[in-house]
Amino acid sequence: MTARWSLAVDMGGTFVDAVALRDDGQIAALKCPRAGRGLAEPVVEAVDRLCAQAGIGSGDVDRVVHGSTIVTNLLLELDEPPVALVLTRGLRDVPVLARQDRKELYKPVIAPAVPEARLFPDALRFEIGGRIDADGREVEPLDLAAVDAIAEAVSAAGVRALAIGLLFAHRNPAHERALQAALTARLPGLYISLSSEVDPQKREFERWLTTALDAYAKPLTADYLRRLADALTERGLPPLRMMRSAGGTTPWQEMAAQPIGLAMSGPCAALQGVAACLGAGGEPAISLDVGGTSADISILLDRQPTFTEELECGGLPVRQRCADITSIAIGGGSVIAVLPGGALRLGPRSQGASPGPAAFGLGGDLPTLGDALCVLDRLPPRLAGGMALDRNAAQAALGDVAGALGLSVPRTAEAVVRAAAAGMAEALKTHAFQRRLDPADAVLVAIGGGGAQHAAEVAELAGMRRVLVLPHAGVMAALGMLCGPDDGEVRRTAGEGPWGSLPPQGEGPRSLFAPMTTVWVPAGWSWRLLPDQTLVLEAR
Amino acid sequence: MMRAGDLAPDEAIALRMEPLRLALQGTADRMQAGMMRAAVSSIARESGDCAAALFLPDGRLLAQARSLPLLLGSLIPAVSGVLARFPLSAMSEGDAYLLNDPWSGGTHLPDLALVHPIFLDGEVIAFAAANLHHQDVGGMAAGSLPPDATEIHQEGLRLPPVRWRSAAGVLPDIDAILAANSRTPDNLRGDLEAQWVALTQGARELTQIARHTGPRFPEVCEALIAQTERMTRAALLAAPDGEWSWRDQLDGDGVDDAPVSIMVTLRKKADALVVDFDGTAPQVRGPLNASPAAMLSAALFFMRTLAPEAPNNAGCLAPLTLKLPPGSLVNPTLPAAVNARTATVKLACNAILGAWSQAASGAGVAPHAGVATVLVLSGARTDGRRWMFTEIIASGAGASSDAPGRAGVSTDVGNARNTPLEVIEAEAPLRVECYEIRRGSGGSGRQRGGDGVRRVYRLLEGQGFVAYRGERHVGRARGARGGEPGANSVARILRVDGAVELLPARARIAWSAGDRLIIETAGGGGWGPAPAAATKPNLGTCS
Repeated sequence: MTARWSLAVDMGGTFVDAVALRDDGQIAALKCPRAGRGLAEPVVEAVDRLCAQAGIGSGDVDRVVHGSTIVTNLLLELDEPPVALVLTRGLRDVPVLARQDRKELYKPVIAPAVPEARLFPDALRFEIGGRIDADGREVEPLDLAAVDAIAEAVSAAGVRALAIGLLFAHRNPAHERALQAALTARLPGLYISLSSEVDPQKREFERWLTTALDAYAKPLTADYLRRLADALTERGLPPLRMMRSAGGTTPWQEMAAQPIGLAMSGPCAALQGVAACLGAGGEPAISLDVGGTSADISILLDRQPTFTEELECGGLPVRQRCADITSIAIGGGSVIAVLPGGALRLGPRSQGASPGPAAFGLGGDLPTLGDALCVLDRLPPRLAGGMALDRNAAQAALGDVAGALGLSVPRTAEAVVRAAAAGMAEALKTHAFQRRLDPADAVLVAIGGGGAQHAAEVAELAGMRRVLVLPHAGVMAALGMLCGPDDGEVRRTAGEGPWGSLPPQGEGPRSLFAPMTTVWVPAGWSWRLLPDQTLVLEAR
Repeated sequence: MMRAGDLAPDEAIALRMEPLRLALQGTADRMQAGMMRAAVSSIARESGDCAAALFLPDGRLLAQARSLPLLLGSLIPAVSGVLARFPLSAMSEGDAYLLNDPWSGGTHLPDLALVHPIFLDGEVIAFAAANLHHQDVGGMAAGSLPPDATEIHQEGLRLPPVRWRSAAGVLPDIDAILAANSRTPDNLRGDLEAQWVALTQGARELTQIARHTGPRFPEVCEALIAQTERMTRAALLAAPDGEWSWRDQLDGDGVDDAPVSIMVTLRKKADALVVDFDGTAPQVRGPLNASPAAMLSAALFFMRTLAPEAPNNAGCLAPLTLKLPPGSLVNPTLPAAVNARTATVKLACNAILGAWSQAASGAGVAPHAGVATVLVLSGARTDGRRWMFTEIIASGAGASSDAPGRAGVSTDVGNARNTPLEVIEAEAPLRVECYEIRRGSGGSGRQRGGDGVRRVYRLLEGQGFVAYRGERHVGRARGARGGEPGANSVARILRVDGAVELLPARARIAWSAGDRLIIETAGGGGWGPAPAAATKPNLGTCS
């Protein structure tokens, strides 16, 4: 009998990771830079490469799961065409007025709460009469006579997607459904999102904005998933399933119909992976997942991810059940700046993986966290995917920063890496204390390409004494897609081991380089490798 | 004082600055979050009417939470007030000090400030401080905000700096006095404990940070303060020297209807700034007087906007000389009533912004409308059940040289959120028929001032009362550099029989089922002369 395989591909902002898990627990994995190509193509390519590398035939595959940062990215970039909204009469400005507070207290010019012109400009926000009350009773019938004019205007504007938000639709969706039917009858090709389906909870601003963002993401996501599903079908692979932000997987058609549910699919998958990989032991764990553009922090209790009902995407509040993650804009591609007055700052601007740090030699010449790590010899000469690092370029990129700070280049790099650790540690402490967990009572779990690079320093600042670096930490999101709540106990065997020729134990300061992750063991810390290939870092 | 530019670069300090800045900011924010989680009263727990900060042993600000500017600045005089009364040498571990007296560093009486010395190896290395708007501290009206107060003694219990707590716990004598003077003693005690939660969290974290930073902790703190001073002075240096004045007015003092003048003059020379409120009206009979501690919030807010990326510490105040004429609206003498100082602080803050907009650096903003309308709706349903809710309705932001002002947003020292309509309609027999941008209400200009908003409420059953506290019914937010002023606030009741009743800036009025209340808040000032065709405002209405 031939071996059976499960495939998972995670598309992040910086890398595409692919993992194949054999029914006997054997794992094959690869990581390649996403580097600005189309959406479906890099995913298909990763599947092809992984199958070729591990000798997997399409007939050997039982399932294919995909998680993607597409929704998060398109909400960050806002390059899609705007959508139309139909809202309760008198309330068409609710999504623009937001909650009336401002984010930046001291910026003299107050930024708009919502990028209205790019999402749903004034001319595309329509109103319709009809009221449902707080108990869900109709107190004024829906004004269906107004639908013709709205449909005409929507059609004339050429929008592809529309969101419907009516007051108290979460108590009684009848008006929203009637309006949807009336619009679909007139405009059959229009993508429509209903607030009573996307987020059936009270508080109209949050519900309507979430629904509008769902509509905004729909045309691109639906096209992309359809193309990807078709390409996989052509290869004789099983039907595509998608990783949800709320955990578990679902057929791709469901996510094409409600793409906002994809917003945190990758990070949630990574937590599922961590949960599956954590050994026995009841202590709480805090995960630190550092990639090219951001660092994600989350808590696992009783070896389970924790969830929340609200997240933020591109600075916008999105109300969806998803893994409870604090995400901060610090990653390997974070740009270093020195403000007038000599203040060192890291991020939020990022070079991502393309062009990435100057050391990548892909045309990026801005100094980044990755360049600081490179200068300190904390990165290997070659990264996952075979990219060679240019240490001289990193050094040159840091020159201006060093000049502005009045420090040598190595000292500057040290200051940058310390700032990165401090930023992550503060976010970690805030996340934990707000959830009534003292970080000192938890173990830190490092994942992502860069998690283990900063974990020990972060732990020290947060009063934590132990760090676990899981095997396959660099592709944890892809692996986690195969370890959902419905997948039962997932068997994994480390095989020849992800750590290569690493000595089984030793003392810092020392860099440990493995094929898909790099580990920094600071002075005062030691490491040892457990039989299950988990690397443990401990403070003395 | 030592000038920041003289500081020699020192690697050990340079390496620790950004981590310490992040740690101090994180600690202050976690103090704030802990206080809000633990608070008993909804005004602190839900609305966040509280603030937390860290100070150096000499009383200089080290870091503050990203919370309400109205309260943040006033913690500075509170710590100074405590230090003036209790020298460091008299402090012991576990102590905490309490005050609310506007003549010893307080703002208005419901805001109780707590200050806690943080010890490391027997020395005070810092203070943790927190203030919180308490539900009731006595006086002539429940809630301790009597709108018709004419002296402080009507406003509640006045506390000069006193010891509230020692290592053994809350001092029973002071606790008994506090409890006896509040209509809601359990809330008062509970919310003080919430403040104490913030202070102990701050103390625990700061001692850890100081240990981690090492023996040079004080020097790194100084370096951060010097950095902020340097960044603030650089921003001032980039602006031209000059003197700019701005006049604004309150619609009344809460008791008398005559407008009350606020006047500020900025004198900027090189990298220093004088903010002088000379010319402001004498103190008033009603409760709109603002104590120096309250006014410092306005000044600190403005100084922070000069270099918003700088660490948020005392360094931004170093270039500032704040002049508050004694006996005036902004520095009243005993026994002035002060409970409604928010409107004064907001307009004073916007007057500073207005004066600064005349400096030719181009980085300023026109004054915000600066109105935070406080609306309390209450009543009885036909079955006799009573209901009540309070909300704050924002107005328009001022335009800047390169962007229009935002519509309907909390500005300057406030940051209140609106109340969702689905919450209002679930709790009260009201239908909110309209919540929209009041288009055309922002001042015209090359960049338009932000519009105010329009909210329309219909009472569905029974009888009720509208308690309305607005501003700018008479005065308007002026434009900058030739921009036009924003529109006035307007509030009216449309009776079910078609009669219309206009509300003044402060009103309490009865209404009945079928009546509609229409509130339109003021617009922000425009920036620069308007293009010829665009000067006519089009004040649309919601039928």
